Amino acid sequence: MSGQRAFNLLKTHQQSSDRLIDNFNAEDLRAVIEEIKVAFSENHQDALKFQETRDKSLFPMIGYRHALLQRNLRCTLAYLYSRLMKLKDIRWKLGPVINADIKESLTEAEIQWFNNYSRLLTNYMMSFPNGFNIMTDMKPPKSLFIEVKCLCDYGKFELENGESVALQKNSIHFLPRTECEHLIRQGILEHITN
Amino acid sequence: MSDENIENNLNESEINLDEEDEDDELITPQELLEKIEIAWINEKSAPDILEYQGELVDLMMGQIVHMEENLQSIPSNDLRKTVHKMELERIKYIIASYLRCRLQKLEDFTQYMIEEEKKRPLNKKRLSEAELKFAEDYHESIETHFHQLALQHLPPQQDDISKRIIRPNVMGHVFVKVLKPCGTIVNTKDEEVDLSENSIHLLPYQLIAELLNKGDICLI
Repeated sequence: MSGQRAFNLLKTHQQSSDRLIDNFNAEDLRAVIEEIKVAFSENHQDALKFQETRDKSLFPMIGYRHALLQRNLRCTLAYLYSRLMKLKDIRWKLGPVINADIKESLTEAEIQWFNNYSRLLTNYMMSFPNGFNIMTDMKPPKSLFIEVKCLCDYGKFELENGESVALQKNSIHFLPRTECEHLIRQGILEHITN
Repeated sequence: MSDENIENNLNESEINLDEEDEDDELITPQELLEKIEIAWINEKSAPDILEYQGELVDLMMGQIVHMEENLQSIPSNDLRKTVHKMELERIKYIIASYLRCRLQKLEDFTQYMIEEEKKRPLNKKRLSEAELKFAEDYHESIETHFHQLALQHLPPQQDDISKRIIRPNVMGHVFVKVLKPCGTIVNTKDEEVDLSENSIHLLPYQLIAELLNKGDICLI
């Protein structure tokens, strides 16, 4: 059915909200683009036919195909855009390196975009005299040190003052907030409140 | 280091706010912080981007470096170090949050922001150089991405970029606190609203954008 693939593209994308990002749906995307092309060429032919025959009964079908084409195009771009927004989230949460797990779900162009976005952010931050880091202090600071629970075996973690702590699964530590903030965002540590 | 020096961690000597200004407008660090807080809250509450407070940000970043240097010379078991460090963290958070908030708006409404910025006269620009560069590059990266994965495979002239512009809702309501009396304005229901000093109102952003820009009111 016309338009079904485009709908499918967005539906499966939206349903996968439990994962950071779903697999790139190249198959549906290709089908949608194909549908656009077919609709376009059929319209083109009908338009030529109209010029010869002035047959107004061609109009409804042309209008329909045009609407289909516009809708498909819109769905396609919405799909691509929404994925980029997810990538952006990943950049802010997990830092500039994408792990293999996520990489598998992406297409080459998305990996490029991700790296490019990372570079844009860095360039922006480097425009300040000391390269002011806007990726830290994501939440209003309440205290200098926070209690954290380690969720996986991370290994040795060195602090700014030279001390190092062994981050083992289920161990609990009292660390400077600024230094372990990124580990919390990556899901390696968990901030214990109360 | 003397006590006095530590206490005045937010260096109390006055800073020159406007270097080109002959009159040498001076500002204390305390006032600087207050101004940044207002700018930050305004930015967070306004739907559109506001004028970039570059001078304030630069001065504050200078202060941060200065405070960090001061902190270095206090022994780490000194209670004051903890207190001052906390203060420093808070200031850093405000600046980072302010800048992030602006980037967020640039990312959400990229094309709109760039076009509006181009329309503004030279002395009314709202974005910093780095922000404009970021917005333009970001816009380009998305367009390239669209082109690579979809548009290049399509028949030409099907995609109309002007249909894709996302605009902020400038008629969205904001809470306004009046700093200087600014007469009355007419709201969307044709009622007159008296903007007397310290009064608080809920008004559409568009109506008060000009007053906000002048600094006669602030958002809360």
